[in-house]
Amino acid sequence: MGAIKKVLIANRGEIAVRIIRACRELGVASVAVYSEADQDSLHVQLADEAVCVGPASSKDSYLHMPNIISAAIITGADAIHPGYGYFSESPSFTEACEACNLQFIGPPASAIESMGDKAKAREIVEKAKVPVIPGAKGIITNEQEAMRTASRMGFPLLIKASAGGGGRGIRRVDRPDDLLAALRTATTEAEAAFGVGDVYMEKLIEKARHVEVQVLADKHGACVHLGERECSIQNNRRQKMIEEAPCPVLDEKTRHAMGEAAVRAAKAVGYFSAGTIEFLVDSERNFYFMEMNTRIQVEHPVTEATVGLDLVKLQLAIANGEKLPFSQKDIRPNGHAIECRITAEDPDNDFKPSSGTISKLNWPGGPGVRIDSYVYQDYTVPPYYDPLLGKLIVWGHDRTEAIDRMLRCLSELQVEGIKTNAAVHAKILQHADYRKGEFTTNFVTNLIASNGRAAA
Amino acid sequence: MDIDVVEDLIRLLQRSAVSELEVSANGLSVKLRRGQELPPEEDEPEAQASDLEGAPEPAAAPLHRICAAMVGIYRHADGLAPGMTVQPGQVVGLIESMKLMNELTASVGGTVEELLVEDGSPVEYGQLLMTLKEEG
Repeated sequence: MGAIKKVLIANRGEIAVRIIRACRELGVASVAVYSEADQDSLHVQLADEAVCVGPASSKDSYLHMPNIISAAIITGADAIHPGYGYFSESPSFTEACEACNLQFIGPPASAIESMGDKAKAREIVEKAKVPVIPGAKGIITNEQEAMRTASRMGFPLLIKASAGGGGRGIRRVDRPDDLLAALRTATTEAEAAFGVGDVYMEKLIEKARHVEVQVLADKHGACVHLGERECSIQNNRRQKMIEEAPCPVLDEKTRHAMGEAAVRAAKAVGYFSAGTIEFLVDSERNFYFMEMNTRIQVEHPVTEATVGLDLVKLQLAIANGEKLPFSQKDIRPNGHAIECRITAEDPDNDFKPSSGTISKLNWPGGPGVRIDSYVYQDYTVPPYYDPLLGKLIVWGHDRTEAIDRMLRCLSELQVEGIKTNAAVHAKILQHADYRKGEFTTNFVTNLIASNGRAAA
Repeated sequence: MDIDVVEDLIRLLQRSAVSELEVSANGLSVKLRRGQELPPEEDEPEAQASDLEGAPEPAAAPLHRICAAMVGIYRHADGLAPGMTVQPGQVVGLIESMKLMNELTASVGGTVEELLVEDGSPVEYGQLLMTLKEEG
């Protein structure tokens, strides 16, 4: 297979725009796909070609595999970039691409499959000496055994659906008496939600931070880590709101150990392309493997800002079979980067999604500022998709400069006609505990509950 | 003449001061006109695009639209031509998608008014393929 000449982007929104931009700079042609609700979206306008793949509903358009693959075939694309979400972590889509002689810009199907099964992933990385959260080995097959394991690791604990992820399919159990009932409910729920009833148990790590490590691997066995991202600022639905690099509380020794562990996890599944290993870090700086995201992530720009690399261009180079043009010792993260996810959600109304026409839009600018978005003034945000409007990314020489720069950007940002969460971002960034770096994954939930007083 | 050539012509026209352009090649011809208003709303296929076939128009001689329900390569049914009469349920074309041939059937009977897509052309979802003048 020769070098990629034309890429179909099987996604929408800001990530589709991001990938089209990388293609354009590389001199690679781009094909956008869109639903009927997205015909005015920016990715459709920026791509070299665009193909309508279905009606508004994602399952009939962006998730309609025959239409996506056919769109690549009729436009003569030779590769597909899945972005995040949609088909990005679907082994069957990856296999369908291969069967149609389309290069999938991402990891091999086998790695997606191994890491997609959370219980299996846990077993694999544990063998590679990556610390995992204390818990039962593999899926639960026997209630007596589950009882014994649970009392050994202690309560509270979490029952997790093997096919879950991204915060879905998780149940908390506080007392031994509740365990069996919770196991049965979790199994039934997992079956209904994911089609697979397999569940496993993990100790609940309280007061934890969510810290993840970006890795990059080529098809020749080289794998490097690009430092970590602190992603503890999440809303009450466990969706990330603010990400930053580096993590403000990691010491060099832990950082190094996490990076090495991430590389071992990636190598254990024969990974190539960009990927992320998510860890929980407890108050004693112990870190535990949570899951691997086998795709480019929303928050990849904070890593790009600190290491000075373009991860999407590197994904294309890796797909082309090129070797990584650097080794671990060349990766020297510099300064501090923060990303705020600006979403169309109304903070005064329980963060309900807000769609409609953007009557006025002014993105901030100036030194150290990057905007990744797909909306523009007079654009009508459709109600069918993710509420992410765009990402505000800033870089500063240190964390204080980055925070102050982000606050300056939020004060410049003007979005009228629809509600956004921008004011909540400003509130977080001004909070004394956030500025000190003292926060856990419960920060935003506590901040909202206390109406802005104490949060950590 | 393939779709790329037509696209190039459209771009060329947009950049130029020429208001109308007619090109013939390999027995096919296209006529492009600049700055023309889009057809009125009711002629847009999108309102019916979630169905394989559009709903009939409320006009006196109802025009029935047949749109692509999937992305793929469009093929005319053998011998289909304007003026031909089709029966309800008759196969009027095929869309090849991932090596599968998907039949395109007429839900109403009528006379083929216009074939809007060339045999063998790539089509996107919701694209208008042909119109039928409904019997009645």
